[in-house]
Amino acid sequence: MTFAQGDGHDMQDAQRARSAAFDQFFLAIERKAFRIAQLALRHEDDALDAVQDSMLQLVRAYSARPASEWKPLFYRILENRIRDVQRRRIVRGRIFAWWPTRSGARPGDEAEADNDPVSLAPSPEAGPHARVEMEETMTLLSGFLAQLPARQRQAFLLRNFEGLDVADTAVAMGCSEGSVKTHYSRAVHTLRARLA
Amino acid sequence: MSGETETGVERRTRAALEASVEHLDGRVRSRLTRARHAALDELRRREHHPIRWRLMAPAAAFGAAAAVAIVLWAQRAEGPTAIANAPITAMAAVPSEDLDLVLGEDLFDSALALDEPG
Repeated sequence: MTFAQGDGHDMQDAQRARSAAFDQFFLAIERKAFRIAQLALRHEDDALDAVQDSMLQLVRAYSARPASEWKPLFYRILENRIRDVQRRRIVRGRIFAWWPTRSGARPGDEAEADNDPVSLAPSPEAGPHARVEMEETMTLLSGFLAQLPARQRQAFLLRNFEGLDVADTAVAMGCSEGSVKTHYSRAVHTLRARLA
Repeated sequence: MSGETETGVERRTRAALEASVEHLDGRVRSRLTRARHAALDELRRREHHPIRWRLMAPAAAFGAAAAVAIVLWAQRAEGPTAIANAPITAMAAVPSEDLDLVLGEDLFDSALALDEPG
């Protein structure tokens, strides 16, 4: 084997390893990322789009970064996407304020969901009782989390749900560690008062 | 979660959120899988392009250096007259012609007459 061939094989191995590492990373975060986006946007498809855009942006801009930096960078990107969607909604809301539409629904959403066999398949993990109970809890919790100011909700979800430490949360939120602590403690305080 | 003891609210909230992501419906799971595959495809595409660039960059640099060397060598071979006839040297003759155009012939002549002694 020549040096060039050996070099090429090493490069291919490195690429395969990186691809596998990204696969594992996305698998580990995708569901929580979706839930965080959904709690902020309160729309399933918008949340899925935001997660997909963030995954693409991470590999486009930061694939050369060490894996330890991926999580805060990913959540930073996701937060920017969420903000973009919220801004677009405000603009759309101003322009089409007069347009008669049901809140949150888009043309074709319902029809698409009705025809999609995957969406009609029952979730394999939970029985109907547990599912109903969990959905009720989530509805209640979503309501409380939605009432929090955006930065408090973000700090709370990244720290409590995603398990980022203060430093990584600060990177993800683009603020100081002190601000993260303040937002987090205020969120906990508010939630404690509401859930009591 | 703040480094001290975790409160009941924090524990309960996390438990509810974690339970909720365990039971996402099929449509959402399918969309997330497609999103992941799209990102991995993008990663593969991007990793193949730099290889081509890495191989082509030295050849391109060598070609550019060779082109510059040929141009410099050709100028030196033509000698000092070539340098005198170069466009940048010819520019030195331009201002007096421009003055004719700007001032007009009469005005230029009277200006010259003022400069002449007597």
